[in-house]
Amino acid sequence: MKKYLLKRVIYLIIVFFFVSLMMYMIYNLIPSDPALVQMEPLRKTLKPEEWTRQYQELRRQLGLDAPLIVRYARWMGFMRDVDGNFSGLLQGDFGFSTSYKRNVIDIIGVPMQNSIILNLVSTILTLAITIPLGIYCAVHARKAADSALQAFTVVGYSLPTFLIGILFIYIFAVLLGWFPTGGAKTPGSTYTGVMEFIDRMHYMALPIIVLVFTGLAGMTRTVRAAMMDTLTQDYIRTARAKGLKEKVVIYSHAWRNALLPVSTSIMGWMIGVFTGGSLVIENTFALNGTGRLYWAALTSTDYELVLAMQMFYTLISLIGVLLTDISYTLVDPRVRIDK
Amino acid sequence: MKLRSRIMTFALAAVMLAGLCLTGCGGSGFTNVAAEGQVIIGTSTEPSGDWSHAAFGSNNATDSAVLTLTDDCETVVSDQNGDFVINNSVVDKYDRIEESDGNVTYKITIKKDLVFNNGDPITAENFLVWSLFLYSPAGAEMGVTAAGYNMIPGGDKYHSGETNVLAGLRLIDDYTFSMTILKTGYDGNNYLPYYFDLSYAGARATHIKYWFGDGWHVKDDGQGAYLVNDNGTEFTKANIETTFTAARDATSDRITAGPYNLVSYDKASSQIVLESNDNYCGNFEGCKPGIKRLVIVKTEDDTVIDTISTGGIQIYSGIADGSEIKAIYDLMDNGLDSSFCHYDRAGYGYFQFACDFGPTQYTEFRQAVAHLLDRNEFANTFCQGYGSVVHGPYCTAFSMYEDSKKVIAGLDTYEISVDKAVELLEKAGFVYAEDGSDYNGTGIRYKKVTAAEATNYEAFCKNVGSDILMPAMVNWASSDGNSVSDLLVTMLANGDAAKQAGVEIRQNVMTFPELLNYMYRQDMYGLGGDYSVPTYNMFNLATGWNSGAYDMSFEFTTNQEYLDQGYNSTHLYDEQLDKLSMDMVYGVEAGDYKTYLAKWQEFVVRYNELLPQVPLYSNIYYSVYPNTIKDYQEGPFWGYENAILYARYIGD
Repeated sequence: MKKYLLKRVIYLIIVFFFVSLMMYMIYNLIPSDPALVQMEPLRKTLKPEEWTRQYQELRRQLGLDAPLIVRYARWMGFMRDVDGNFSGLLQGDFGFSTSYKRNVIDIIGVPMQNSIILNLVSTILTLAITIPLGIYCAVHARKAADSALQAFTVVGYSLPTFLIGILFIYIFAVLLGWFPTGGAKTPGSTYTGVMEFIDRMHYMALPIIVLVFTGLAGMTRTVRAAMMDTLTQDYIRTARAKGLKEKVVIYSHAWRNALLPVSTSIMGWMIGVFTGGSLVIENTFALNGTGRLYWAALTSTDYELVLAMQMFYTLISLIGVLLTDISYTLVDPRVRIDK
Repeated sequence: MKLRSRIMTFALAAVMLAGLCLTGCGGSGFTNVAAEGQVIIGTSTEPSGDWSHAAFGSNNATDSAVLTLTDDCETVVSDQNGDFVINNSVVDKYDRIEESDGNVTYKITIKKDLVFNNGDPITAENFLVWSLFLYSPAGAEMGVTAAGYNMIPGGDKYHSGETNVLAGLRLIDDYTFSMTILKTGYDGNNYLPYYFDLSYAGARATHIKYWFGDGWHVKDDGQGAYLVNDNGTEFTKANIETTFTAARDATSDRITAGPYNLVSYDKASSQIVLESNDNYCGNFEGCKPGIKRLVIVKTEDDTVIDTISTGGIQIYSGIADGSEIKAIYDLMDNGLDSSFCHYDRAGYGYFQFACDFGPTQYTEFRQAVAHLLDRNEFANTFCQGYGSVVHGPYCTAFSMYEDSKKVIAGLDTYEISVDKAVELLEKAGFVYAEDGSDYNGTGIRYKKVTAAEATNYEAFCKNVGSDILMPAMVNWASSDGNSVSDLLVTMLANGDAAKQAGVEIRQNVMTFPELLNYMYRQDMYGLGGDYSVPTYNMFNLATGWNSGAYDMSFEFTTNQEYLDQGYNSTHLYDEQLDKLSMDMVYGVEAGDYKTYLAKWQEFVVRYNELLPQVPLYSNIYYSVYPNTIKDYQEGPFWGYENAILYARYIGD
């Protein structure tokens, strides 16, 4: 196991550096000049000579005159930066945001916290609903309840997240008035303690409901398919023939075996939710999360911030894959990944 | 009886005068009252939390608004019309002294009772310290983008660190200071005369300890102002950066001197809470806030109407989308207790030509293209009834516009007319068909040009025998996801008028930053394309003015050095237009409105004739506000951050 883990971690590091190189090259292919972006608003404020002097100075400060590979090495922290120090990703310096005019590390903390809360709660809720629902559908396959649930979940599967978001805002916020349309807390509120938590949850509720709703279809169907496949196995028939209770057959024998393919899907789905899913939800509900930050950075060509976010997503994906592999052994003792 | 009557009249007048003084009634018909109530303001721009007065680049719209709301203790401000005015709540005495060498000194005495929000007194040194920081080597080292030192005597030596004394700034006494502006700056530019030179007298009160730490003072030994520390510490990046960054990042308890105090900035919810500052001296008209508490929240375009309808926000400014305006009117009809105020936008959308290559180098051709678009219909469709058309580089909010109605009425409106377009095209020489024969009404027109005229357009030109034929084709750089571009395709590029006239408008879709690269012809770092080569000769954009200071200097420069730096993006090399754009501001003494207006009118007429840009639409902006407040009126140069000061809370 240890040997396997070490091997996987080494692979992970190699992939991480390869992806970082690819990402850096790709984003630098896009015609953009961070120094120009920063100086453009001052074009009419400063006199031409001064503008050019400051522009050139900024390019020098940002190290834009160096060849691409040197800039990459500096960004990663393999080489000394313009100021003579090692200040790259490896040293914990994620770069400088040209749009926020601050270090990236100072910007991403709060949005990351928001996104993690949003996605963690919605993931737990989604799994809490979809696993029993999927099992129920598999056990009652092709019956009326199963068909109805399949039809219902396909709606969530077919509609784009932003549309569901807007629809839910209209129904639950505008028509029923149960939830606010967006934001993260009551404007101007000074709640503390429990009241602050309740207020926060009140604002988080609708985005979480939308995330759960959009996650229902895919995961329910995955669990249903895995369970249906397992329920046709000989050992299930044997278990039933032995006279075991149906609950024991389903939850102890079938579900344990069905979990293996499901766990892979869960991990993939979670990664998707953490990245693409929250981007749409955060934009629709005006939530200050990593998805929205990522979008804002892309539209303002703030590529150091984009790259930092991208590497964050890459890291999540790689760790996710590693955890999936490890989870195999926990779910199915027959799997021995060190062999 | 007569005496009694006189005494009564005098007493009544005295009571009225005292009442006026106590309430601080100003000239704009407001009455200062105790601030009460709360208003929630929606903003589409995410605050960055950086409220450091643009020292490190530009602030976004929300940041600027928060700065105005919290820190507007300035000597010069802009009024409702965007005009620079002396802030009489701050300035006690102002003198503009013309020196014998052509320099100008602005001597300012501030009022003695000014205080910061924490009660600390404001003195003259508080108005000098920010400039001393901006122009210092420490400021430059910290990434400050400022060039004002070029126009201040001794600024070059101070900026380079040769001396720590800035000779052009003087601390005369506790309440008096002066700033001198050079006629010709160290960068070789002429700074005087300048029509808007009152802006040079602008200075903002800055709390020294809050921004730079303990022990700092501004002193003057007769040679100029300088910063000194009680402990002998030098004014360097290492010694001030920690305190400065903490001040810059503070999300509450900021020491400022504006109408409101920053109570909190919650990054997690992008929410800013402000409360009225009891120590505020009033704005330039003496107006103090009537609303106790303001909450600024981030909104999303897709759901903003829902948020307004549920009371999530109460003030939302600058709505240009006709469907949103109509939706809010519907909400009002169905019980939303709000009102609208509206005003003309200080700016317009337009397309501009590159006037130095291809067919757009010919004035008649540019005029012909303008005749191929029904601009009234375009503005009507795009603004959905909430907009209008301008015919030159101005907006209807300018006082110059109001004072030039006759001149503006005489401008060519370039009404849609295929006949007129054809006449102009023929005048420009576009009278040939693709094979060099006379144009017969099918396909696009061509013009016989010289090799020099065809430069940078060779790819589109045809060689027929010894002739070079240039097509009547515009190579248009159009930004993606842009509804103006979409409408231009429908109404101009694919319009019948262009086809009938034998003109092609060829759309090339790209990102907006890339469009700007092509327009400014500036080479980018990295692996981008060669933007310095003229490629596209039409671009669609929009422009706007933040104040009434109409300064188009360098916009039509013919100086190659400036052109290389991206100035004069239209590449219209017209000496008259260049001279007018410069003389309008740098050739007119401050206050000489008559001369300024005359040059402005000449400039607008010349622009309208040469047509480097074709204005398309100018919106009418709507702002919604709750009926729990009154006297709320925004304007083209008067955003919610200014208008809210005059609003009074009346409750439900």
